[in-house]
Amino acid sequence: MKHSLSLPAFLLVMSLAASVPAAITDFRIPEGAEFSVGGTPGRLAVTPDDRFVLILDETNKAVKVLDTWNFAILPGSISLSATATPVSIAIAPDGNTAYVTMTDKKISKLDISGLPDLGLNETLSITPTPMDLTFTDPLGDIRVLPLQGSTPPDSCVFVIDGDSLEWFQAGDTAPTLTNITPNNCQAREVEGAGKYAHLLCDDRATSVNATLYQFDCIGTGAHDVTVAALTLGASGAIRGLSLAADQEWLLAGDTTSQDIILIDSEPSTVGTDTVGRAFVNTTLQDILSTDFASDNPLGFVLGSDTLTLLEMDTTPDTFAGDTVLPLPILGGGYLARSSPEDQYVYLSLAGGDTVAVVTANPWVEISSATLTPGDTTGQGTLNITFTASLLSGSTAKYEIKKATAFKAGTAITNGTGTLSDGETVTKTLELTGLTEGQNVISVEVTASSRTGRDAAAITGGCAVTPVNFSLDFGTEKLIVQFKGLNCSNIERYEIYYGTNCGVDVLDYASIDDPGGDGRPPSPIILDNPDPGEEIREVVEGLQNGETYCVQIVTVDDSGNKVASVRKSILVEKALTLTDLADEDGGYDCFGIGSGAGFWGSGAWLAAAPLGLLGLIKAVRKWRRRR
Amino acid sequence: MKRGGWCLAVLLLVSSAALAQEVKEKKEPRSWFGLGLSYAALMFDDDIYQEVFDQDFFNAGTLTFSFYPVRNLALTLGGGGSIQTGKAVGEETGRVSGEKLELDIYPAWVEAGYRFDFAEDQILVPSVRAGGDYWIFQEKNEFARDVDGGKAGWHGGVSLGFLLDRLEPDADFNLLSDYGIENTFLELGASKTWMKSDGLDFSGWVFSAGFLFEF
Repeated sequence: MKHSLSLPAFLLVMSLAASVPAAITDFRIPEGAEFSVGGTPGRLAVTPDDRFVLILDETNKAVKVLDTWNFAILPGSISLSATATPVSIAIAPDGNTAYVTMTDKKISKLDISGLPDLGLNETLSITPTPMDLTFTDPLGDIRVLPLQGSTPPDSCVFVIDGDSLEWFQAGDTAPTLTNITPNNCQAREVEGAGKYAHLLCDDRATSVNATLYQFDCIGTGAHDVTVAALTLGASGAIRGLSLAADQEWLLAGDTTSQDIILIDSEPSTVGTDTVGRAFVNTTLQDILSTDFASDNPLGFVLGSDTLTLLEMDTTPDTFAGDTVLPLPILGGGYLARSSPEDQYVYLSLAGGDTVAVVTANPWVEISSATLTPGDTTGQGTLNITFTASLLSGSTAKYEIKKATAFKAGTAITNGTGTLSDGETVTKTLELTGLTEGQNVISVEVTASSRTGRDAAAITGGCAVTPVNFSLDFGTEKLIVQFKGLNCSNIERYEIYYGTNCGVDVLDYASIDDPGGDGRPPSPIILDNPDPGEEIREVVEGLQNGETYCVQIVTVDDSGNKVASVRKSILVEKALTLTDLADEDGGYDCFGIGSGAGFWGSGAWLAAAPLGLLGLIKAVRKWRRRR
Repeated sequence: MKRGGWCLAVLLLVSSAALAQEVKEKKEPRSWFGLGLSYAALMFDDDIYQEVFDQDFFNAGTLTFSFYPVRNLALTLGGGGSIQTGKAVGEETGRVSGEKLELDIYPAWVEAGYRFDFAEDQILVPSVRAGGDYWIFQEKNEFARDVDGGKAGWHGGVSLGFLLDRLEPDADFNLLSDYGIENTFLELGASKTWMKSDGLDFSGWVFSAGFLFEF
């Protein structure tokens, strides 16, 4: 049997192999890793490609987006409603659709398939679509599972509707809701990824404190597959339910006992018992289960003023260790995470209007990136300055790339090196293959097999070259025409004109005409031209009989200037066809009013057909007589 | 030279008529109307058009409708259009300026034509024609005022029609059955126009090529 591995699969294996667990104490909120949302951040969701974090803004009733390519909030927002507040958000597994539950018992559907095509710092332009679904109670959490084996890919969407759990099939043209709440269940939390959705119910009406249900999404849709009983504290209430990325472990919280409960999520064992507990001295806000740190599940527990990281042990009633990160800002919040390969945790901090990043990865900051265009289109010199915050103070490797997409790019020659914690690196690099418009430069810093990133946008352009223009005259006017350079880095064109044409060609400012008398002052400034734009500028109010000269100066966004050749032309009166023919217009009705007179105009020929007809008839008559 | 031309014309007529008589046995149906669609090149005598438009001729399209009260007489109503862009010229130097202008011409005419059509399915049908013209024009200027008006005149000319039905008898049958077209001609024409009056002079030659459908 022949064993082979494709290049993408090999790269994937290598990237996974390169990612090693961090110590629990390695996680921190790096300096500069908090971003203002401008409202009240609520729940968050990370796109499957790890690039974007969708953040509910409860104050502005909108969705804000954090781009983790360069860790910046995108300009603009996705406005959801004028009156209703967003509650929870989930992203479909294919990354093309997001669903937001609202306080008006509606779900807004967002088409986010275009997000990956956005360049850095580009403005959001997404319009939500309200779904035609009617719920009876205030909505809570929402989760999406892929419908196994469906073609094209479809999803089951699970929604907490009051005390009930309902689901619908996302791909249906007119989705219908199905209530799948188990008996005696007061639905509280729903979580889901991969093959299973989990529902945690408050069951204290019966002899059981809480029950965990598991559902799949296969064949005809969602099915109840497994049930587990959980024991809570005497007056315990459930808060938070989070599934680890490997889908083996679930974390849930007991708000009274402040216990964090570790649950084995495997279908064969989920019905038996919880396998571990940890006590956290905090008021529970949200829980996040990850497998970022070690072989044991790593729990992030967000309290009112601290974020506690727990390394849960699989031995019941124990945990391996914890660390507490003081949060600089008080207030409630929520947690979300990227993939195990990416290893970022995002938390919204409602009290501070911010979203923060928790990570053990190097934290990279590009402070400047500027491009000086080269002589040839597509070439240029990049000056880039960046620094990185490392964990242990040891050195790290950096690599500067010309990105082709998020997490994809080509290495730049001489763009690699090493740096130490906090060191500022400045590099000057020659670039080729730049495209017109935005190009993205990414910096990746790797320490202890963990990689951090940042990116910056530079505008590809070309070296300024003289424009080739045509110069024409008109009556008391000049007409300047040219096709603008097909470069996005042209800031303006300056058209110098005047009658002082004998000065040196580089002394174009001296041919200035002072303006006045209807003339625009020289130079005429044409700001922010479109690349390749056809430009026609008419300078009026000039003197017939005078010779004027014109030069055009091109200025790029770096202040580089270049002047065109100088052209001159005699301005004189321009005669139209009717001027030349001394034609005043008017409708000459068969010679009436015309100098040519009736016969001269040929109007008599209007009667010619009748005459010819009479002639032919006369000839025929004559022939018949003969 | 003149005698040679006449001899050639007579030879063509006689030969085409003789050929038609040989091939066609059944009687040709009577046509009452004709519809013509042609390209025309307008060539004016006045040099100012060359100065402004830098072109010897104007392209035009024409449409004619004819009535045949008797077999050899065509009474025709026609119209056409031509749009040409150019630039004003310097008063002193005659150089082309940067001021754009457009001249739209819409000729209309009535004419009578005598068709030398004597035989059944005659392949070549010459004709002579003459009539009165009225041409409407409009000059659209970028910087000066627009000027419009109309000019009257007359024209005389000759045409030569090639009967296409003889080339493809099946097509003849199809056109006849589908649209009622009895004859289809490729028609080439030349006419001289006399449009002299004050101002613009559209006198010159009009050469045309197009199709004539008789039904």
